[in-house]
Amino acid sequence: MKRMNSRETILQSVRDHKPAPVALPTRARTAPPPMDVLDRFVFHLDGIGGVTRFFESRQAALETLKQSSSGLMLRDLIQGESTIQEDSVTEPDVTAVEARFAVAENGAVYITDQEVGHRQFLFLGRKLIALVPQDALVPDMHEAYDRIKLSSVGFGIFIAGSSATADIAQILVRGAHGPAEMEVWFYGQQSKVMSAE
Amino acid sequence: MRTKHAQAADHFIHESPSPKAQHNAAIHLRRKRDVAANELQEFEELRTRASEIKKHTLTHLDQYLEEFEKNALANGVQVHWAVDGNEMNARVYEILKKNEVPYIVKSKSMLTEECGLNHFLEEQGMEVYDTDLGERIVQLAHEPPSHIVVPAMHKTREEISALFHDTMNTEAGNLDAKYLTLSARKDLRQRFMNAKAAVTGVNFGVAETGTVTICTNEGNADLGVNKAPVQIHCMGIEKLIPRQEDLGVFIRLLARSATGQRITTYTSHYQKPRAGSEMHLILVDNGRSHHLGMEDFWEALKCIRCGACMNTCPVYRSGGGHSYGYAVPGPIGSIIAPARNFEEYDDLPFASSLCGSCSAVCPVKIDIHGQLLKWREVIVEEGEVDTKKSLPMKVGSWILSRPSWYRRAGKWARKLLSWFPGIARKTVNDWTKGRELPEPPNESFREWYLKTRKNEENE
Ligand code: SF4
Repeated sequence: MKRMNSRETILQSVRDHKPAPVALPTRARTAPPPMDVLDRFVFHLDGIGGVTRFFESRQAALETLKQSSSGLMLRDLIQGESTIQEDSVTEPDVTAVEARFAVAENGAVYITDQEVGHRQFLFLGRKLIALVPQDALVPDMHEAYDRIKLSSVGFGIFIAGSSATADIAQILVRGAHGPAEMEVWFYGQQSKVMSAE
Repeated sequence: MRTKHAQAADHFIHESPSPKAQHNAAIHLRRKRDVAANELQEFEELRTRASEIKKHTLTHLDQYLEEFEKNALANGVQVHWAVDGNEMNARVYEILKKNEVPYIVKSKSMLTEECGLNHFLEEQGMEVYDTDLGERIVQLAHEPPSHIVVPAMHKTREEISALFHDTMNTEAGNLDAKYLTLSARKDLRQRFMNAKAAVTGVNFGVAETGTVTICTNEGNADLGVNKAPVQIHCMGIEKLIPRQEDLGVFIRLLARSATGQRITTYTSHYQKPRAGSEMHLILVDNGRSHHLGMEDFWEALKCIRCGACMNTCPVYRSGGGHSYGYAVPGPIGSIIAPARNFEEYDDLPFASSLCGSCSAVCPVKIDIHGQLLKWREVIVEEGEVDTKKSLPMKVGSWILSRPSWYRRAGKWARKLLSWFPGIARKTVNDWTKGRELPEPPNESFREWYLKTRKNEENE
């Protein structure tokens, strides 16, 4: 019962105190400047210590994943061909996951429950590899949020580069709590659409 | 008893072992912020938009709170309301007890700092592990954070190395930031892996979708809540925004303003609990709804806690974050604190040079220095200013409004100051605290101007 009371107390106090209504802005937002989205993405991911790689096809990317992680502990969230036990405690060398799209202005990729299964896997291990179709690239966060539907997933995340901290004397250290390395693997052809030219 | 800012800052400047550490770190962030802001043509437009969205939300806050609650409940989130800090703490403890949680992993949250959650839980015998590296450092040092984004900003590498040696038995004298960071990671790893509950703050709550949005660089909040079967998010009611699309505006501004990053490493959106686990959301008022009713001051609630106003503030940088004696330091803390507890924090509006730099960088366009000035008016009207401050001010303004008196007073003051330099320090002590008094000039500008003009006319 107490909870009901606090809820009502707070809502009533807000009603009693809120200032005169201000409208939501209705102006059209500024369009992003013309840019080569792929070039921007590579620039920004590089700037935060990430690596971008390119593959002709999804198949080619998966082949490389298999070869390059032989002898390593791999958690493969794409095809389920992990070389480690699927328990939650093990920290793999490499975690591979599919991302829905990438964002040019900041080097981020978007991943949801549907791609990762167990959310915690994104934050375990040494290196995270995200596979993204090369034509799935948006210029900025406005278009990113236009493209997603939070209400249809339990969890969605933008990841830009690797886990990082500069809490000790502003010296950047990677691998604070999550993976220390991040790679984005683009596959397929770049889209012809470059964004507003 | 809380020490007043002027005294605490004086102590920091003269007694702290490394008074420059905070300054250097803050100015570094300020510069990085400028680069990131200038690179974006539409940065000013974004600030205006962010301010308007926040104003709209705050003036319709009851509706958005109800919408947010409805959508969160539909997502399977358990929603709680807390009138004040005590109720929030009690609610958190209740959840932990019900689930027989032995300890919690916690990520950064200024709200829980404001409400004293750690202290409360520890009193109940519950262990709390702060997991953000900076927060962990200040927790181990038994200190409050000195900055809302970089909590251990005031500490040097040497101090942290010694602290880690004492508390985690790291190698003595090892100053390698990577070694120290990874030692802290290792130390907390098992805590994360076995955690039964994780507590976080919230950057943005989205009414339309019931989303809890959390921005971190370390991934500590995400590792915590996605490992533990119980996740608890504590959120001040002012953290709401109406729609998913509004996140575009705020996410673009937040990291750029805070650290000059284009986005934080992790920007997570939690809608639903994982299968078999619990997600709790505690909506906390603690003075916010009352603050909303203060005509001149409610816009301070637009704050998104980026820390830019601190980084740019000369008083913060030289006096340090601890001097404010409030959970949120710096210019924004100095206008929030008196709105929540006027008697306790009536000195904070004076901890400013009113240079206006805070307002110039604020991503949600809070007129911070305007509010500082208004608070001073309120405080003077309430008679809260002691005569040491107000009497010289009154004499000063009386003289300033009379040009001939001003000239005479200036002439005598210059003479006096050069004969007895200590006099200023003694008589207007509080005013000169933290300031170097420049050499008094031999002649005033007016005297110089008249003389020079005469010389020029003679040529
Ligand atoms: S007042 Fe503005 S600049 Fe200061 S922390 Fe809040 S949002 Fe950032």
